[in-house]
Amino acid sequence: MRIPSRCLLAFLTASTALALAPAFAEGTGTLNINGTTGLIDMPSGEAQKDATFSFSTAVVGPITRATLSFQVSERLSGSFRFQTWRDWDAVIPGDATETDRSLDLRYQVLKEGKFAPALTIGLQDFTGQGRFSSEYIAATKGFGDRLKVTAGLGWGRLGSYGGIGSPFGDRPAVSPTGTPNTDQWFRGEAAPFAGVEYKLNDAWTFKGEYSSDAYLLEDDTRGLIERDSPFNFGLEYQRTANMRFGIYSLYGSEVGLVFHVILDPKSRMAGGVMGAAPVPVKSRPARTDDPEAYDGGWVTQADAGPILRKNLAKRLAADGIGVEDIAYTATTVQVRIRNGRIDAGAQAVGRTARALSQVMPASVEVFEIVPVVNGIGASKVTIRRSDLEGLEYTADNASLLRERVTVTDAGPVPAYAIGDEGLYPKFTWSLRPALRLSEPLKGDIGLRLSATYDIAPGFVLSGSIYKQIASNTDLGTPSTSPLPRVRTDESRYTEFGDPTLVRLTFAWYGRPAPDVYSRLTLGYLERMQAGVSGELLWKPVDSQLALGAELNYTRQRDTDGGLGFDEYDYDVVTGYVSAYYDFGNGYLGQLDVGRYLAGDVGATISVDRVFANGWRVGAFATVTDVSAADFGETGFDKGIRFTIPFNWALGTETRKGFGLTLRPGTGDGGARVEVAGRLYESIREYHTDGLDPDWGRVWR
Amino acid sequence: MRNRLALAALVLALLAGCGNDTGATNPVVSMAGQLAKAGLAKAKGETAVAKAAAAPVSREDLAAYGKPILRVRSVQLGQDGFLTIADAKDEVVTWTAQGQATFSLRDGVLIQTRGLGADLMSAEAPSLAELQSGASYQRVYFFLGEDDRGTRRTYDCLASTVGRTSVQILGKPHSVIHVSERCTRPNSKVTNDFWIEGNAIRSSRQWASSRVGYVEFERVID
Repeated sequence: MRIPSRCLLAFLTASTALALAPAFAEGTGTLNINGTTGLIDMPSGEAQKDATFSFSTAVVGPITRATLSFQVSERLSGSFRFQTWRDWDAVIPGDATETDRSLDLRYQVLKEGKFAPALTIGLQDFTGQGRFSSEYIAATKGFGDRLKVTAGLGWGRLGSYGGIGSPFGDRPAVSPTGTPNTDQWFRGEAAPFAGVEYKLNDAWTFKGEYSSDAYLLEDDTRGLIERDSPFNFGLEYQRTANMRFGIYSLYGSEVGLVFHVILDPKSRMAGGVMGAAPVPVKSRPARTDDPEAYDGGWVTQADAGPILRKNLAKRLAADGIGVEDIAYTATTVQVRIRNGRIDAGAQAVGRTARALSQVMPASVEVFEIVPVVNGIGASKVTIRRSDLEGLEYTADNASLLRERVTVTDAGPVPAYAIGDEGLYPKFTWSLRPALRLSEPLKGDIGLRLSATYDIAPGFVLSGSIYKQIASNTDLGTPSTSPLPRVRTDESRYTEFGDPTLVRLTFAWYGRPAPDVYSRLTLGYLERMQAGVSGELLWKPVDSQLALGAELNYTRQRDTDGGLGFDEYDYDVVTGYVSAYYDFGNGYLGQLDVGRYLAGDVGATISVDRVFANGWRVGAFATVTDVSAADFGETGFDKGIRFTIPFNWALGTETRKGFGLTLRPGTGDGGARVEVAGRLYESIREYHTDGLDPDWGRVWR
Repeated sequence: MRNRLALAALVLALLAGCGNDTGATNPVVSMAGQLAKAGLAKAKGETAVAKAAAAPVSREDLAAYGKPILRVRSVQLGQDGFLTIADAKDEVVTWTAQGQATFSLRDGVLIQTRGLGADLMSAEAPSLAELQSGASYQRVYFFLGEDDRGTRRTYDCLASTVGRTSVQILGKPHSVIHVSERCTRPNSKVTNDFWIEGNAIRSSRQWASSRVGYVEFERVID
């Protein structure tokens, strides 16, 4: 068996190196059963299209792999995998099912050129217990627009069959500390792998590969499968951009099935953003034709304010925009708005400006629009009315308008502002189905009753109750954490607290000084912790840098979802100083240094990629003075998180979304209390770094 | 257990969710459905253009409104509707279908759409005189591209007179001059056709955006 496979490999490698076929337009790769770019079980040298977000599920006999992958940039991608082995006790007694979570990283060193192949270097399961650990270099070259050939060299699992020796020394055993297994990388036996991908037609693709993974764990150690052959082959089917299916013959003994959901955060599934067309800008008569129209005498009319306010509110209600208050002189109007529905800040500003052009007397030339979040002004967008009139039908009007608009600090509410007595207090509530996932395919479905009572601008009383309807979670094994169990008793909260009072808080948001924002939140902050949380944030509207400080005093709540504190006798003071930086192109970085819930001291670094439409994908890691042994098998707290906005999927106007945080393992170290309404994310949308990426929506 | 979950998901899908929170729709489940439907929606090009008025309408019925009326047809959108004027400023007239979608035309040349999803945000388009005189010029279309970032497409265009002909618009013949505008850029071309009566565009077939494709306009009632 070994000789022919070597021959095939040599042939493939040689053909890759020597062929002079015309290069085809730089293509994107397809996904393999591990949810990463590749062939069937082997990786390839290609990458996905920038920002591709995919969710893959593969079933091979008793093995299931669920993988979430994100193409972080054109060259870098990351994956989070949840793997399950059934019949784990086939040979060695113990649990019937074994699960493992792993993280991958891959970097495309070389993009495909006319002669050069695409070249990728990758790490698979690089922090875990090493069940799926491997490192590889893979090269892929396309010939024509149907055929792609891949050849590579693997270590770890990918070096376990047909090895050619250990170029970089022996591979030490894994010491599972949860830290990157750097001493293992590219060590031990290396083995070559190769394969081909051939596009049969627009929908069907054939793949065949020679695998260098011996499946020692599954075959030799656990007896889960019989691995008879290094050759895998199969067919993949894809009709729409969002779904791909694969069926394969694997290891000469198994049939594998895979299903990929492939999402492009940059393009809405429903095409462009839906919603009704805006009203036209109302043009004023020329000053020379009708000088009387520009007379500012109307400001002295006692009822002018309430009438203007009412007319404006009526027009903006159609767009889900509320008018907090309005203040005017003969030449300037300032309106403070609450945007409840439109997902782009620029569009909310544009709709407000159009409505003002319809409502305000001709003498008013300056429109100041202040978006209000949680009762506080986030920024002030100043638009000259004549610019709005002059540019409405001009080519490239978005760029031209942006040059003429200023975005500044919101400033205080004008003393002469006319509010609406009917606006506060305001009660809103909702009862909605909700989904809570504790890991892929595990979680519960229930109903969430939420209510908010806006007492006065900036003063909010809110809460939510959750009741399970169906669940496939269980209590699991009890926590053995030597630390205060601020997080590892989560399954107890899920199982015992039903229904549960998730949140009941009183919050006060304020603007103590220019560029400074404040928050004070009191009450049942989250499922596991209650107390008081205070925050200050400094962020000038046009600054890439923001600085913050937070101080919390919390007590751990009972697991029954009620109001008590009897079960745990634990309280703690936590606090952080934070720096936020917008690197541009949607990459946000954050560094927090401080004391965490278990009393441990350390720092969190996180990087998120945010899209103008609300998509968000990020990763975070926290290192504190808790030892890896005390934290648990994954060593330190880390994970990935993402948010998918509903407007992206449905095209409808809504600001809501679906979010999830996934961790390789939970521990009590590096945990931070969850508080709703943290300041940075609340206000960023209306600062220049939030408004500018999709500023074009101002004319939408 | 998995079956119970699936069943519960189904039940929840039927629950609309309720409340007075205006900024929300019922999401989780419908989103999963949307994933499956996305391909379909793309093909059908679901938009906000009014579907009304597709039934046989007589010129007399329309004239009875006493208002100018523009007929808009799009094969790609599967739409056929009669629009009225929402706004007129200088040479730009904005036509609307029940306030949901609007088309802005400068002297009959399309420069903006709104409410179609993949809208033409603005355009540097030829004047009527340029079309009539067989000029060559650059045409620039502005869109919201990937992740709503502003994008542009620039074409090199040449207008040329095809000839004198006659068009029937809702039973009424019009003597017109057919002008064709051919625009090219690497790997892409657009051809807009105009049928000009006297000094006004009587009917036209103009490209709006990749997803919307070509839209036909007819001035039915002046």
